[in-house]
Amino acid sequence: MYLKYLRLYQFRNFNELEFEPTQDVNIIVGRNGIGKTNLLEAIGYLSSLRSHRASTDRTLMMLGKDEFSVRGIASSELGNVDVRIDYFQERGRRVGYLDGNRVDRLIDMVGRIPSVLFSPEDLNFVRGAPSERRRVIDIFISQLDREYLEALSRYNATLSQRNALLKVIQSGGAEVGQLEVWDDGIIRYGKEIVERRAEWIGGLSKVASRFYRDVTGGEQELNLVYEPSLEVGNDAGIGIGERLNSVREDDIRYGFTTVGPHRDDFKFLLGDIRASQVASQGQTRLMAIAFRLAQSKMMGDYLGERPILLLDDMGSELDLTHLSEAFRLIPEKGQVFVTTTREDLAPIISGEVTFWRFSDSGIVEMKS
Amino acid sequence: MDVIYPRGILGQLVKEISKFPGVGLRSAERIAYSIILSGPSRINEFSALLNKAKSALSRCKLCGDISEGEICQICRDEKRDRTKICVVREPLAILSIERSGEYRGLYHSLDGLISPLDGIKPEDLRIGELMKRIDDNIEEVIIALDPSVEGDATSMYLADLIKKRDVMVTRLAYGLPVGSDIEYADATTIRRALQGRQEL
Ligand SMILES: Nc1ncnc2c1ncn2[C@@H]1O[C@H](COP(=O)(O)OP(=O)(O)O)[C@@H](O)[C@H]1O
Ligand SMILES: [Mg+2]
Ligand SMILES: [Zn+2]
Repeated sequence: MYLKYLRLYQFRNFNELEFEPTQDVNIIVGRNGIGKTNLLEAIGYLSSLRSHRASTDRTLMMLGKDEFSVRGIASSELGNVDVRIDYFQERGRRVGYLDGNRVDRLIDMVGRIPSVLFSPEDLNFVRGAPSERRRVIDIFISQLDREYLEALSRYNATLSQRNALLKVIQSGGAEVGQLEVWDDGIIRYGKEIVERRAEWIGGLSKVASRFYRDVTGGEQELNLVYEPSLEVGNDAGIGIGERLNSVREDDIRYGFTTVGPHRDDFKFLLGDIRASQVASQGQTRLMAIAFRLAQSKMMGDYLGERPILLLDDMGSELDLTHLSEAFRLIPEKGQVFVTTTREDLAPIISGEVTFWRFSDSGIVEMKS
Repeated sequence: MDVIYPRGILGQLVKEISKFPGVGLRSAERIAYSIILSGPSRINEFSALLNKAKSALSRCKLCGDISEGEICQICRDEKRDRTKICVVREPLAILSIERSGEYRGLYHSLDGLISPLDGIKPEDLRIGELMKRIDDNIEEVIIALDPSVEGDATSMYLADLIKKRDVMVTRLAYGLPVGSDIEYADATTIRRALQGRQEL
């Protein structure tokens, strides 16, 4: 599958932009601040309906405007798929169109145009806060696993309600017993999320570990270890329920839910040691690349074709060496977007390369 | 390219119309233009009808449906199965379920769902009224709320209360598309969901 048409309207710094990329390697050259990351962010947004860096849709809207729209048409052997998301600030909501028809539920649009984004900021999910890792893992799993996405969206809705109720209880406006109907959802969807995360992260760990070994020559072993906030055993439902009960007083005192998948983490281990404690900058970058390659590989295996690869800001020699080694490990053909400030960027990935630059009328091909 | 909105009184009219459920800005504009461009007699008749409907119709004292008298036709109809009550979020859902032709019992509108985020507590809903209606004759309460997390939580809350009275509680089977409201489901879907209802 490849993206053959992209239209952005009042998205970030683009008032209106149209782009018709090729189905091979698209290298987009432009100075810092011109909107390269924003462009890849928009493609990622088409895949998962989430930004890889912003946590609200409002941030994605051009400053001073009150709506934005992202539309992409992708082509595959099965035909075209047309995904369009409009955001309206006034109503604080999004409207989605799939092949021109308005969808009842936005989550039906997730994963229609699958992609994986490699970014220099990927260091943050190895070293940064757990929320970064959760975002990355959710964006990945959501594109592949419909039931996970369903559980996640219902979990989040339940969590907001439970937290709102905790605040009411805290101020004496409701009885503690009213929590029960929300605890039920936390337990049911929480259990499903934890089980699925365990499975997907386990799979990613195996593949990422193999890539890391191949790229580094195998001095140290890379592992991803899932650390759920709530343990899921065989009789999982009971376990989560008991745990939730045991923290009830804390939850009421703090006014929010203190345990659950929204507090999950997973760690990168080098050997037996937490990577954030021992890894050098270069090793951390390689771990991030191995992790992204693993996502790409698993998505490819699962979907039957490689997802669209988005490589943001490929400039440093270090990255180029690492990446060109790394990409030998996923030789399958597929569409790639590379952004860079360098006009002399050597192709790091095989395929027919087209160079593009930003112009007032959109993105145009560079003639050498 | 900035979006152009109608200004002044016309803009006010469009804005008011777009407040109705299911009406987007574009449809609101089309309706507003059509109203203003139509002849004066049509506008007068239409506003007279609106006034007449508003004063002739009120809520049924029992089920909460829209009714021409104090008690609605369904609640008065002796031929209906008076051992069953179907609980819905709002009166509009009654219309959808009636269309399915599958159900012959009574109804009860809660006028909302429990939602702490919107400050809606169980006390704010017509739950007390429902409990009063569940007398010796009622054998089954069918909960037909939206399959949202708020619908699920409210169903569970009701089921706990009703089961204490030794009355059977069922809910619609998940033939309904999760996340969409009952009013939007077609008759076949509702019929199947009613047939496959499960005990809570
Ligand atoms: N919501 C927004 N509205 C308008 N401009 C924005 C918005 N968000 C980011 N920008 C602008 O986008 C530019 C950065 O784009 P970015 O994609 O990060 O550039 P780069 O090409 O360096 O990757 C900055 O000039 C920033 O001011
Ligand atoms: Mg950038
Ligand atoms: Zn009635």
